[in-house]
Amino acid sequence: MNKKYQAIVYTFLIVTGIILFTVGFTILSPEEYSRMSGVFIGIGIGLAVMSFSLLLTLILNSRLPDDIKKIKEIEVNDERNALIREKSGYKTCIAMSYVLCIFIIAIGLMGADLEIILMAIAVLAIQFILIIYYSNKYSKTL
Amino acid sequence: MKNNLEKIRKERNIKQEELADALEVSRQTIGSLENGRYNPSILLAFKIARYFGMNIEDIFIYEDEKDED
Repeated sequence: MNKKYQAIVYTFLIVTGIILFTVGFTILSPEEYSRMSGVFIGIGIGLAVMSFSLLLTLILNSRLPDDIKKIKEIEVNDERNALIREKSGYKTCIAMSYVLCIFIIAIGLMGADLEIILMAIAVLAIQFILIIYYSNKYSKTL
Repeated sequence: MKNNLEKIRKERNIKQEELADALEVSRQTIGSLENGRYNPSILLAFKIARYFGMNIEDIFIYEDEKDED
């Protein structure tokens, strides 16, 4: 994705975030749709702040001197760094599977609603589905 | 896998930073290669060999896993 296109996407996301935030605050008044209003405000703020920080990073990176840009590019593309990223990502994924299992058991023992427990199980299931999907994908392409 | 990278580099009075720049890798990668902590990809091994004008076998020494124990 080129930088101009990235900047357009981030700007669009910032505007969307601000619109969601405004709708949450004004049209959906908290008294009438308190839950819906909270969701709109939360997603709006999250989207706007995340997109703004990504846009800011993009702008600051584009203003870096050429020699610093080259060093950054080397650091990102360096094969050892790529291997470190892949290994640490894999280990984190394995660790998070155990953390999620413990979390599900804990909320079950605490007597949480069935909906909450099912949502947590769904997160774990999505993780396993993604592992299977990417394992299949890379076993065919690599 | 052992290698003669450090020896060859020092013989030619090349700094780790210079080698890293030429190969477009980080200086830490050169350090790890020299210490034997990291084995390069075949692509990087070729780049290193080409940089020094040598064969890969002259720089990297393949050893059976049994020998390494």
